Amino acid sequence: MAITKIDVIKIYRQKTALVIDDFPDMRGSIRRMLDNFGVISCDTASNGEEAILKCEEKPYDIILADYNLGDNKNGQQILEELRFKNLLKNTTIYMMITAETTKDMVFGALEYQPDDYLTKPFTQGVLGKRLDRMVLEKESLYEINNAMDLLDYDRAIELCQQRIDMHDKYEQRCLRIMSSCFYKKHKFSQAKKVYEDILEERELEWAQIGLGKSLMALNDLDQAEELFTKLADDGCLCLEIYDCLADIKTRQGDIEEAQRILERAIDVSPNAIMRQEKLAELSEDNHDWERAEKSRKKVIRLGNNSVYETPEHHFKLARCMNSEISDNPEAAKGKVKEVEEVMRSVKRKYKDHENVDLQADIIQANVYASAGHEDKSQEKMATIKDKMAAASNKSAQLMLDMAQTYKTVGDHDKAKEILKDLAEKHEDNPDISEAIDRLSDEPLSKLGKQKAVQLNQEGKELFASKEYSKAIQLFSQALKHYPNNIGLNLNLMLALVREMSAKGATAAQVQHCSSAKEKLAHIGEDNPMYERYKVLCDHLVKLKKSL
Amino acid sequence: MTNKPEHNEENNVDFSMLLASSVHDIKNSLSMLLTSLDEVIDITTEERPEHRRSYSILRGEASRINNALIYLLGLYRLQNEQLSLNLQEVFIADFLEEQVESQQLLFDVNNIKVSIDCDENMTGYFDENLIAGVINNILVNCAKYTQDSITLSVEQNNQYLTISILDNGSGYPQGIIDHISNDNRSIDFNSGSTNLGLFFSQQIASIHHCKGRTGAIELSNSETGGGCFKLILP
Repeated sequence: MAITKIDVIKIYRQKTALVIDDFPDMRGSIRRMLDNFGVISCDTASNGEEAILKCEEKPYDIILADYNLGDNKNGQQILEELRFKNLLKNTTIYMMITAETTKDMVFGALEYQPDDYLTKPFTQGVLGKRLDRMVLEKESLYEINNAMDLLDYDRAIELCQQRIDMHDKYEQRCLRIMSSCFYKKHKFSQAKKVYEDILEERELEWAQIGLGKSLMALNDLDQAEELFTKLADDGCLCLEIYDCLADIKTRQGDIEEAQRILERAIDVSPNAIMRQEKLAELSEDNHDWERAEKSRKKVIRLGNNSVYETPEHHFKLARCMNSEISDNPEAAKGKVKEVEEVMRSVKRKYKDHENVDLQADIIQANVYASAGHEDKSQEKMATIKDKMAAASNKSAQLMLDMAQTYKTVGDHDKAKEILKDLAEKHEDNPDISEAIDRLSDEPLSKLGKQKAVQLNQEGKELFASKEYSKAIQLFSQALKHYPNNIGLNLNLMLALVREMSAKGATAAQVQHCSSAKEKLAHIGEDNPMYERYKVLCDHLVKLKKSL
Repeated sequence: MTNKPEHNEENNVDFSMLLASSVHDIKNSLSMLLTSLDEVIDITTEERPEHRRSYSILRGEASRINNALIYLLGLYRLQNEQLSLNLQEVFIADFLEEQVESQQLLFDVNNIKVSIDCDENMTGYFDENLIAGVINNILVNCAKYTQDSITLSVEQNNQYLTISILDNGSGYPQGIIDHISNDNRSIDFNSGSTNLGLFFSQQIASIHHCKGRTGAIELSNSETGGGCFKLILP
């Protein structure tokens, strides 16, 4: 396939290009080079926002982006946002220009890697050779990339297979595309097979990551973990492997380790908004409010003026600080002020959004109650009631916040009423179901009830074989998800009492037991579990004395 | 227990790290400098072709500084185990053309003919950036010592890929050839010539491995006298 210089110029004439660089000199210089290659339509942008706006207006065939764009979004973040917003076609060339020879700046996921890196300084000749190469490759694989853009993965796979059978220059590119198409079509064993065949020949990083992800999808967590751990030890810089490892740990039930893994990834690359959010969630599950607060704040900062921006991020931060206050009332003073400020700014920023005002008030009332400011809390509650009556379209999250606030102010019946209603309406939504059961004293959702039966069964078996420390672990883990659950708290108390009776009391265990007891302080004598609770409390008093 | 003086961590400057970050800074400036220089050369030499030669020296030297900095950074990373190989499938013909292109000006003014003998579709697996550093170093070196021609050729056999760079100069001094073949990895900083580039090449080649095979470099002189550099990759 001999393509002459004239042919290449013809190809360039039809291409549209975008040059992203914060230095005007550099922009001009690259633009002149493209002009010399034959590109007629060439736009420039000096920062990420401008670049994304331009891409929204029209699609480009060639994007040359400098990695380092000052304090602004870097070239990698632009790429990620373009892919996320679906503004970048597979037929487009995205070339990253870097001042450095290493791939240190490649922190993202495999999917977010540019087509090519070009190291500064480069001459026009070098850029020309590089672009020619990329343009010819994109021309040659146009049908395949186009099928991917049309989400017709079957067609893409078919075309790849044809190319692979020809054993031409792009055989391996096609293998790579084909395996990712299998993965996207959820044909994981086929994807796995392709990756394994490639790895038979050579240990290529992308194939290893692909294999690991396929193994995860096929539920072979141990083997996937082994593979990702080895990659991490070998210094693989694709941070997706940490996301995968954290996911594996979460699925294995070790959320503390999952949090630690993500923290490592965040240390390397603090600007990945999705990862920060995931870390915040994990930290909250681990009741590590400080870490969660830090990540929540970072999410808000990073989300500012981006696609990811939503009022919910602010509410999540406020809820997190509320939990912090409940856990540690001494921190209340500063936190209450901070929450007030966050709620003020969210109201200002989203003043046209439905219910934002109301939701902010609900959370604020909750925070006042948690911090012991009863007057202020009551005052807020009064305004909420009116607004609530006037509001149509109350979201599940809004009602969850309301239930939470009722609980904190001590109105458990009202809270339960709301939660029961939500449980019925959102029977099939696992996320809402879990949120409901997190707040309630007993499982209300269908899924939560099933989970409770299963947990109790496992607990019973552990009690029967006198494995109290395992039982303590089981109930403690479950309580991270359902902190208020009466049955779980009682079972935890029971396991702790039994363990201490058998082996002697320790201060830490007494403390652990007391905090479970506090969670149950509100149950009344009419509750069928009251008797068990009383008995356990008596035991606890005795054990405390024995210390 | 003896009382040790308190060790102040914060005042303890890690000199090699300092050096590495300075190198990084210098490279950024150099990049701007080279880009501007290219433009100046483009504009001025159209009107005053006689200036081409002095510009080429300027550019050649700047390029040498750039290469030396790349080695320093690379070796620093190697020592700190921060250098991870980014193995990729590379189209060798395209890759070599690009390396030659990056030194084209140097070849033009010195009237050196460079030819590449490589199958269009041949591919190899290596870290493109690191190997580019190696090839560039040898090319600049050859440009200095050859009479008028450099030949790059590629061979693939026994699961090894060999890139040879041949010139028609007076060949490598026997001392350097012996030094490399003795597998002596230390640099003799007292000998006057540090051969930093060759040391770097050797290091980069040797961190490339696949299924028990390891990369290496070889130096020899051809019968006609020219030097031959071989980069062998698994």
